[in-house]
Amino acid sequence: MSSHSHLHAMPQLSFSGALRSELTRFVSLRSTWVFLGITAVLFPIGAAFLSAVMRFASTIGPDGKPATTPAAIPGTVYWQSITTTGGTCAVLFAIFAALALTAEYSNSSIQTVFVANPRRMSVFWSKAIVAAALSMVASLVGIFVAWAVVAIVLAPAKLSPMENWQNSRMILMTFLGVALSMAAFAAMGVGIAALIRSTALSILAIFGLTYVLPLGISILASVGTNLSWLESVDSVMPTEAYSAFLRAGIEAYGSPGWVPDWWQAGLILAAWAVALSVAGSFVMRKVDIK
Amino acid sequence: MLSVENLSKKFGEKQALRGISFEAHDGRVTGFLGPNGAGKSTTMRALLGLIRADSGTALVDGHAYATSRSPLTHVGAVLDAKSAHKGRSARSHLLAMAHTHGISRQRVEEVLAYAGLKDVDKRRAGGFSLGMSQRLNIAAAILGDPHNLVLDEPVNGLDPEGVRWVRELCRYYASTGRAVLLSSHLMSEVALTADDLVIIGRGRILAQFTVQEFLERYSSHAVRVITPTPNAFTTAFATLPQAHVEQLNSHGDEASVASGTAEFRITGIPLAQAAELIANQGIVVYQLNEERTSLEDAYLQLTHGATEYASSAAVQPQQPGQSQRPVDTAMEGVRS
Repeated sequence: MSSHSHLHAMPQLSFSGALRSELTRFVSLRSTWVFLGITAVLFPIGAAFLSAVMRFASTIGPDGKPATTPAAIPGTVYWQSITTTGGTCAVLFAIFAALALTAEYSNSSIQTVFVANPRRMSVFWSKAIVAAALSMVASLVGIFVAWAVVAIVLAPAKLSPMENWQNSRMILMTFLGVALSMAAFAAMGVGIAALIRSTALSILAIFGLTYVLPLGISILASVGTNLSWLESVDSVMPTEAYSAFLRAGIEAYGSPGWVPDWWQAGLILAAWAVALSVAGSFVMRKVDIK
Repeated sequence: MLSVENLSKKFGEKQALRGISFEAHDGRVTGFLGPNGAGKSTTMRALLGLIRADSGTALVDGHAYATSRSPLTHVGAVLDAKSAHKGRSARSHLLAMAHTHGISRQRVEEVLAYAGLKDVDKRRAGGFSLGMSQRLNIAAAILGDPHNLVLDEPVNGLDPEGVRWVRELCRYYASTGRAVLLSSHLMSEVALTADDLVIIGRGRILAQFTVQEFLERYSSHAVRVITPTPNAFTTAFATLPQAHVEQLNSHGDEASVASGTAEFRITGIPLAQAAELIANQGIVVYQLNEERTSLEDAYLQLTHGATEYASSAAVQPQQPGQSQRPVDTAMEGVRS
């Protein structure tokens, strides 16, 4: 090849380059847009459904007949209906992020990735960061649309007033808290994918961690006479931590076991993301690409 | 330069590499030959840091590939035919690689054009034929204008024009002082392109030659003669001390015994000299053939016993000179 006119400067690896490369990889796949689109749409769909139900319920009296004066809807419900599908979206973001990596293992394109950038830690973290960032952006888009939907649906309803600090915290949790949580689940997805490297098993692991395991723990805790301590274990599972984080310490939550404060729940969620990511990155660093 | 020193690797129970050592020098194309499962791809992956060796070293320009600050300018690699994500376009695939090193979009355009993929650059790689995928791989390999090329069976799936294109690319890179390591299981293909040969089988280096040495050692030729007058024949050839005459017993069948013919194999003299002597002595011959050992035959002989996967009707390796094949056409194209 005779012309190398555009390589005068010595090209070098950089972390910003790795991030840009990963962003290109993500946005150049149709599946990325489909996944992000679905999750972004789920927020307003869930918000519309829950807010409509709450508005209807407020018009029904305790005797089951239409109330003469609609009851006030709790202020927290206003914000919670915006993020009602957050738990489902969290799982979807984890799967989306996991698929981004396992697909590269299954179709061997991971070889090209590591040949271009043999620093595997850099590859892992750039992938995790981009997956988390895209999940944040998609969830924020969904939340803003859901906010508009809830504002329209509940406009005629009467809301119970909240204290200023409660209102501020709910706003913070609804937007920043949920977006950061989605990022954490996406990072967990990349970590799990790097640990397992199989698409089917990674998806199973995500479902296991977010649905099956908490359910199993709850069932065990409820049937075993000396197993109530499992309730505390349940509280530190990712989905339970996410729920506790979003309650923002405004609503009490009854449980026989230990229940973390909202900020502790946030830290637990972050710890899951960090632990799975670190474990995944170390496995990715060591594993042979045959 | 690519250098491999005492490299060993075991996958589970299978010893894939057994302390292999060789070098691919700057300015030369090194053919890396071996049957399927011999360890070629494992060696190349070890060079690129994709596989961790159990022992030994695999270095690119004296350094481990993983420590390079600019890997794409050190090595361009073709490993798998379908190494791009099926859902990604050719352009995006190359752009993603280019971004890691801050390589410009213009360079991506250059390599797309060079590989003849400009018209299909927005098509998803999953829809590419094997040949188009190989062209994309080669475009990716030269993206960083690397000092070394590591090509694992790059002509698989390419049409004749594509095969020539890869051959010329290898020669061009070598001519500009760079090292090219080209793997194949086809001796005839490698002999047309390479300067040096490294032959591997069952994880061991079986032989290392320059192509010229290999040709000199294995491209022996002989003259095969069937005559009804064996005594006159041997007497005549006894006058040529440089001629080695061997009587073959393949004509022990009923027909040849009845006809009284014998078959001889003469080495050490050219065909013309043998024919001249036969004519001058008035010896009757029924058949006169020149035979040459093909490079493929010699290669099969070298790798005999080192084949990991063979069909039940395995090819029987032939000793030099036992080939029934006429002059191997691959020989005619071998560069001298």
